[in-house]
Amino acid sequence: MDERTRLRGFVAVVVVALGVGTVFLFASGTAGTDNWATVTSAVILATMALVAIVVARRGMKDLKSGFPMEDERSRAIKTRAGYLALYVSLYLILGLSFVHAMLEDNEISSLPTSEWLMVYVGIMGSIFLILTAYLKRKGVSG
Amino acid sequence: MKTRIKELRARYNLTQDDLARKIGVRRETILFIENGKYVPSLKLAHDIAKVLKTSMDELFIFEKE
Repeated sequence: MDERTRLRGFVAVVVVALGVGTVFLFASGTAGTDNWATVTSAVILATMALVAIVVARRGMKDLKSGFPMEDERSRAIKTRAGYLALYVSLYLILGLSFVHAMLEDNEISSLPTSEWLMVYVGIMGSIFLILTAYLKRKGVSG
Repeated sequence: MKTRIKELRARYNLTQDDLARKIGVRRETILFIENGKYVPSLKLAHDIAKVLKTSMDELFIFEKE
């Protein structure tokens, strides 16, 4: 599959996800009734749209200049960052799960499990982004 | 690892951008290889050597760490 097709595929998947998310937001009757849920959903959808726009614009710019969007070095960086992010987040998640269990045992009010899951995903994503930026500067071996 | 990419690029009047386009990688990859911060795969090393009309032996100098 060439890179232009991959970029189109990426944009199509994001458009479908945004469309489904928006329809679900309104069809579920959440929009306008529950402010917190509406704001959270809107922020997630806006973040997805923003990330997709940045990635698509950068990809188009690279393709127009004759460079690939991804090469063996960027793939090596992603692979290393993904492996390290998974490894580090597993320990963090175990630690947070312990805190969560302790809070529940002591009947101290804490976030509901669904929101803890969002925190875990956020932590994992942030670690991946930080490690990617770090490895891009430091370099990786092939 | 040291390389003679910069020297050979100059000989053939190629910029990092030109070399990157010819072998289908990003410019940063050439920069990192030249600075010894990225060890390319065998295929990429072969492609670079081919564009610069040399052998891999001539292009890369490995030193004992």
